[in-house]
Amino acid sequence: MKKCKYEHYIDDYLLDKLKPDDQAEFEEHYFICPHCFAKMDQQSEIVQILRKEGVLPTPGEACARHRPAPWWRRLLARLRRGRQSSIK
Amino acid sequence: MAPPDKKAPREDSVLQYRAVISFRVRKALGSSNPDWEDVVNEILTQAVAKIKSGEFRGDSSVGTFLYTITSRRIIDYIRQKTRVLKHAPEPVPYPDPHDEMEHREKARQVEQVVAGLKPKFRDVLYLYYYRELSRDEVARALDISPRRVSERVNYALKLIQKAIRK
Repeated sequence: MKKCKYEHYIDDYLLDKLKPDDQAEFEEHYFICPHCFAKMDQQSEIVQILRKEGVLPTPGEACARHRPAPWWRRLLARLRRGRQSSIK
Repeated sequence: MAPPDKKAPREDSVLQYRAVISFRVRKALGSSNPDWEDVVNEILTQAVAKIKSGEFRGDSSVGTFLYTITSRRIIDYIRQKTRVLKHAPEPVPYPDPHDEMEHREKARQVEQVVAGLKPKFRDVLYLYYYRELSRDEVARALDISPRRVSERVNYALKLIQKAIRK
């Protein structure tokens, strides 16, 4: 099925992250687009559940492992990668 | 006999929009607001009256017509509420026990799927939905591309939707 060009607004709309103009535009749109409305309606409930306390693991458990390396380590890695590719 | 106006919608066609109007009203007023159902009914009644009286002749689509009525009614409601109940406490709504049970069951299913997800998907969901970071911010925090963030969010949502539909 062809994707509606407004579909990418759904998440931001549900999370109140759209700019006022975009929000109004999307609200008018989903009144005439059953596809977007059905998708948003379904997603809305899931988002509500995911935003509840305790459903998703806390930062300590989840994100600590994924904290980006310090800038100097990333720079070093990039330099190393650059040197390796120039040797090849 | 004059030919019927091809554009004029049937009065009952607005009833198909109850779900969309309800969604918009609940989003604006808050789902826990006990007045939302009354506001939706007022919007539908007003729309039917406008069609009956010929005020709405079908120049725009029914959806756009209802969107306009809904938006105006929401603004009126908020103005009215701000004026009258500026400092009054909100009444506590009584949740429908059936809806409550269904929602609890769905929440349990979502939690189950989330628990089974690989950490890289859970982390994206956490930062994006719970911490409400933007896609770019999530990408920076996890040192991945914004496109990868979208892929992970979409993948996790698909799994959750599949589990709920079962």
